[in-house]
Amino acid sequence: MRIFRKEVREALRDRNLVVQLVLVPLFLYPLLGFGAFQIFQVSRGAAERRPTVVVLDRDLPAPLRTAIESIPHWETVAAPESLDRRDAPPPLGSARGLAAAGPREGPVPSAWLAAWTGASGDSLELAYDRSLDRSRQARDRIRERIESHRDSLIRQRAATVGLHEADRTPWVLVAEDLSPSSERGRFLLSLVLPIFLMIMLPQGAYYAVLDTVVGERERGTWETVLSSPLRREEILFGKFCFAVAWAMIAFALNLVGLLVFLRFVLGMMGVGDSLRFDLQWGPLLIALIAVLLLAISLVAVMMVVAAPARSYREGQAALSPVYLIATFAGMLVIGAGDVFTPAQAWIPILNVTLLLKTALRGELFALPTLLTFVELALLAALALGLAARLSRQEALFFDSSLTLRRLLRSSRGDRARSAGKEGGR
Amino acid sequence: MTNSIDAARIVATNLVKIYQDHQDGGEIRAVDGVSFECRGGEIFGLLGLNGAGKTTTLRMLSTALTPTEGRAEVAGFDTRRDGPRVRAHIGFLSGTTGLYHRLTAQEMIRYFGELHGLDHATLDRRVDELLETFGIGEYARTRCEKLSTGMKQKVNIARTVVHDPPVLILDEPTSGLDVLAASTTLDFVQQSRDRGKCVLFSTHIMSEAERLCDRIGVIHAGQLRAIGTLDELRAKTGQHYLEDVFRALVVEEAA
Repeated sequence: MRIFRKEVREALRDRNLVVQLVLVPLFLYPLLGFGAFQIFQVSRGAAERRPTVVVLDRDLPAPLRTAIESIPHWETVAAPESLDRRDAPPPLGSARGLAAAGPREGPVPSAWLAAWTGASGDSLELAYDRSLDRSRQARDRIRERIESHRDSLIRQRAATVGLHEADRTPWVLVAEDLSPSSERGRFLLSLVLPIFLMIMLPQGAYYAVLDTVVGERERGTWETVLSSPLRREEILFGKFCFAVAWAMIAFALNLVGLLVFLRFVLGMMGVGDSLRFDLQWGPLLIALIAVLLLAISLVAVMMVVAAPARSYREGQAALSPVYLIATFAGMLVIGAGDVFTPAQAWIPILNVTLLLKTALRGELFALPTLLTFVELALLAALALGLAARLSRQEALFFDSSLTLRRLLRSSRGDRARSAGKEGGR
Repeated sequence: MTNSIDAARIVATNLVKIYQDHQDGGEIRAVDGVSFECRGGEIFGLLGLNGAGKTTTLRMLSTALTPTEGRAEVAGFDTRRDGPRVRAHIGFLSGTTGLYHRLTAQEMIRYFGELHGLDHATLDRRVDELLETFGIGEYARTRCEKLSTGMKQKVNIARTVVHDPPVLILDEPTSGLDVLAASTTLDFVQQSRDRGKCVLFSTHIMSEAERLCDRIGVIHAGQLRAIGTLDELRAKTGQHYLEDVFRALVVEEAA
């Protein structure tokens, strides 16, 4: 407990750790959400107000020309009458033309349209530059007007030959979302939260282990604390508890931050009222226990991996693969589907992510959950056992050229030698 | 159980420490059969070159390392069997025992008092005493990372003795210190001896050993070449100055 308290006190005085733990989840997410929304709004407004130059074929039918010319803030320009058709087509987006529309054999050379669109035939052609946002926007809006004009033509012609709307459209397919707002809210949470949280949990563990284990060697304080009456296992256990607590707090704060962020963004998008985030606490509690077990395993593995590191740089190099693997395994949830299967329960980290995902939806799959807990308990026991065994290695604290491989090897050798001997450490 | 005589005593008997050489797979005998005794009210100096085996010997006595062979008793406790109790009765200080940068001087001393299980009232009293004794009251609330080297050393000494241990094991405690900081450390060592502490002190600086030590053990290549008072070592080698005594014991004997 004394080690734990001291680690917490020290960590809270480290600016980087505090930023990672508190400021990122509680302030950065809402700030990013607000910023992204504002940028989106501003850019959309700017796009709508921005003068857009559209080259229209002189032979374009008048109603179509009128429809396109009525788009606000647009400048439409008729294609020049005399064009040298031998010229190569100018690139779209350069100079004036962001999009061009016209019948195939109009004054805009069909070879140009073909070059721009890759299309041929009698169809109306719409040339644009896919690599430019503005050109794509122009395409969409011209297409919308042309299709609207086409529909109106169809209606007029149908009326001319005596067809009613019902004759033209034998049935109308209407899709209706029957899910209640709470289900939709939970679904949204289950899509977003597990992925973020499975990034944040390993990240919390990563920073804590780096500070409490590698930092001890970097600062030259191992020997200082080893001179206290505490046993090595007690010292490492205190550090271990700190790292697990830090990872879980990172997880919890990120959960809060993301919920605030989601509510904020959804509110700004005007759909906040149609969604409710009523959580099922039973499944969620079970999932959170699984997250705690995962944090225990993860921290134990990270402590073992980081133990030989002599500096923060070496510690980062040693821990980064573990962090990336953990994050990647969590990301697999994206393609894992809605059902949590027993086979998935054996894949570490993915199983907890899936458990969390299904729990957020208010579901609990009994067998996969049980298997997940069995696997987590085994993993935690293995990792903790290994960490405890390594903590008895003198080399861990005093060998300046230690490698993980040598540490594990000496641990095996030491165990064989020390069988039956007394230990007073 | 320990008694008052044992409480301030170190007895090392044939200590051996062997490391595996990872380069060629052989063995390195860092300490090879070291035996000596250090009593209360005495400063025993372990004098040797860098790499002679001083630090390894002291680490075995402070229970940081386990001897490959031999045994040691510190404050009446066996270093193999009673590691925590040995550590509860010693103050260990070396050039490599760093401070926690983000703790203040006061917190650092308090933290080690807590680790030694001092109760709240005793700890308050001891911390106040030590801050005054070492003249660090002004910096009590300053983080260790912001302290000068000399002030850091004072804090380090204060945290070493916060539990008032009967035995002090000091491994080159003046290494890397300026003259004033080194002088503070040496004064503290002398005062500890005067208060009846058993002080084991390693150094490679002859003047320090000459000034402080009641008895000196000259260690070289993991072996103790001689033990005795300065006069005894002078008589043995026929040299007057400790530097010459040391050379006679280490260089010439090796040749």
